[in-house]
Amino acid sequence: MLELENLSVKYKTSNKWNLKDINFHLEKGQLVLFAGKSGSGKSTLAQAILGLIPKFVPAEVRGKILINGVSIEQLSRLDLIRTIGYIPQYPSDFITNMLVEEEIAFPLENLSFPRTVIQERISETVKVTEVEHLKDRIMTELSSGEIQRVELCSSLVSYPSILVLDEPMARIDPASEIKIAETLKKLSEKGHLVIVFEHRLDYLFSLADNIYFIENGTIIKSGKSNELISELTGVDLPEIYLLAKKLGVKKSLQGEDGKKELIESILNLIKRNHIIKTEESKKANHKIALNAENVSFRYNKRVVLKNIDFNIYPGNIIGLLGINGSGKSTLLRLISGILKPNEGKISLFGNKIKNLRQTSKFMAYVPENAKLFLMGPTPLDDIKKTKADLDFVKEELSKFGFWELVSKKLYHMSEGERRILAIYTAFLSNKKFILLDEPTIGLDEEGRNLLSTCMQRAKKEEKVVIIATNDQRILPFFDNLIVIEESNIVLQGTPHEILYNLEKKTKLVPNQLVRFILELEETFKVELPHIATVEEISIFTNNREFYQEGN
Amino acid sequence: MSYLLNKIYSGLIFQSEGVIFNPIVSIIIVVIQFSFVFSSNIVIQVIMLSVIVLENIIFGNSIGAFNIVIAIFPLLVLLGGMTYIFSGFYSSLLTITRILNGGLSFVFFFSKTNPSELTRALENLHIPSKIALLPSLVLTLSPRIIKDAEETFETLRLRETRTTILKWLPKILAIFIASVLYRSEFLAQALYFKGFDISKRSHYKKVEFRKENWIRIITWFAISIGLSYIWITKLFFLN
Repeated sequence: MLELENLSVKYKTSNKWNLKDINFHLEKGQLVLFAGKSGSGKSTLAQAILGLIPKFVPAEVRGKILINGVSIEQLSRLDLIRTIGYIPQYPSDFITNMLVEEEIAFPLENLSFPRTVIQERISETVKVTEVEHLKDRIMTELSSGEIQRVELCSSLVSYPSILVLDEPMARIDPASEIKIAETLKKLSEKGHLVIVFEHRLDYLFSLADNIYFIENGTIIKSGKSNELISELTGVDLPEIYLLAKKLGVKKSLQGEDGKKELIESILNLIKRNHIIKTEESKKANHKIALNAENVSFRYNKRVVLKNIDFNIYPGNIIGLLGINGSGKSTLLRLISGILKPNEGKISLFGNKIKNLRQTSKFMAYVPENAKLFLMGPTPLDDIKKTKADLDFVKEELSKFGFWELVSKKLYHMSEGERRILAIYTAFLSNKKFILLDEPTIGLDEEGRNLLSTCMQRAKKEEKVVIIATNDQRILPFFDNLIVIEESNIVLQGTPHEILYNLEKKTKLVPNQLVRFILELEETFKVELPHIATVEEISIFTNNREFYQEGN
Repeated sequence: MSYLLNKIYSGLIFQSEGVIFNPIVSIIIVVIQFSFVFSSNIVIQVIMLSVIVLENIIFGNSIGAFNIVIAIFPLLVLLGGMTYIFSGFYSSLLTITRILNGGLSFVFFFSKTNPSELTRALENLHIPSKIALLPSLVLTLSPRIIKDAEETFETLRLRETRTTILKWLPKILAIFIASVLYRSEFLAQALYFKGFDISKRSHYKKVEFRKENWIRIITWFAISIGLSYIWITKLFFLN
């Protein structure tokens, strides 16, 4: 169905081949995953398959792309778009209509489908992608996760036989991630060829029929998930596989034996009455850095936040959680002074926030659209403005492999590269509050490690870090989590408290590891230690003093 | 600045709730309104302003109208003040009412016209899809580009505590232009991939013509006759 023969791509602006000798043959009815870290060439490959390279992006292309035996160059545009549905890395860039329903109908209108067919297909596809409730909303007012689902719906509506998705999991909460992964699997079972380019593999990994691992523009490994599990690096592998690997469990975790072996290994390592020693929240000796009192905010007539109350202390690392569209970003913008609450007040060190001029002395805010943060022309220019010690910056960035990026022109950088350097620059500033909106979108493991290093440094410097995120892999780094649902704060507490109560008390689901531990507890009626990350196992192994006896 | 951009965005964004007008009716009325904006008769301008304000209130767009008045307030003060200094009170009042009329009629058009319906309506008039989609894309993209500019400005303001207009304006403009180019590039890809202009488009919905359209169009025709009478009488009287 889709065949690539020695495909190589070199951008006009590049002096090396961005993709080199890519070969594969994919058949319909498969869910195929192309994994690789940020900048490995995933998006380039996706765009080449679609013919967007070289049509829209100037590049030299060698080799062949065959769809049903026909070269992509010989396919008419009509045949191409009837065959392939595409959701780009930034679906908001693909919005062509104001209303959700119009956006979904647009491709079918363009392909001259009769009115009744369009209406039938819309009602069918909105159910599959669970965007029925969004039908009458305005596209620009949706959260990025919601836009992702609407664009998926808009692609599916024309029943393409091949579906190409570029990083579909980047912007969505874990509950949506599970749903999308299951939807994609079902679509492949119905006969579609579903090709996903992704580095967040939590739920897709075990569902994929085939996985190709890309590094430096070349496919270096391919095979089934169980064959590749121990060989992949730089991507977010499913936490339960990592846990099994760490504990030396060889049997498959799909079966009961594997699960039992895992439980034994955990219990041998950690006793149930060992609890994780968490740092006491800094309250007693510090005055409140940020206080929200009865804050409400409406957008037009829609209530986004209602009666929000919380206190944040110096040195606190706070995570804002909530399903897509729950109001996390709005809360960040209210804290930053960009938006003003309709009711209530937000105070910084006891002074009510009045305007941006006041907050700008204290705050660095990196929006989800991180390209707006760096002014350039290169990230180094922005870093220099922070007056940070350049030797220190060089040493730190080199450690994570980002130093060579700082001299690159902003518009030649990938979104992930620009985002991590925007975040790093924000942390270098002398601002007391660092606000980050979905900072891990497009970041690979190294990027997340740099973020974690910055967070730890900020904590030592008694800065307040507030992060709106759906990425549960970074949740254990926080001191406290605030969960927003239906315009209110529904849960507040430490990551471990929150994660193990998340599914019971909210519409959110915790990370894969927590879900797995809970599932094991329920199935085998055992009590297991409530760990939140695989890394905690290492802490147990290496440093038992980190834990203290519980009651 | 970001506050004003936010107000422009809130004023121009399409309001999907409430009454939506037939796009052809909206275009005809905007044309009528703009033809009278050129009149230098203050009575005509004041009558127009009253009717435009009234229809914004009646059809549930008072917040949008209020937002745009706030957004153009500095412009009103600047131009009103300058014309007052150089040409006196009457000219100043005329300038202000003209700007308000233009601004408010545009806001009503943007917020009460569904861009996709506008495309369909133009296509029904046998206007080629490539041209028919243009106004819709402008209506869809303008608020987003304003939003980009607003977010850029906010981010910059939060980064640099002491900004001066000379410092931020070139940066904002550079990012703004880059944003427009970036959006246009991806829009072209989106239209390509969504099959735009491959064949004659079908319409999944009929362009509706509700009774409110009759009310509006009849009202504006009546008003335009009255205003024309005033305009012509005044011209005749002057001659």
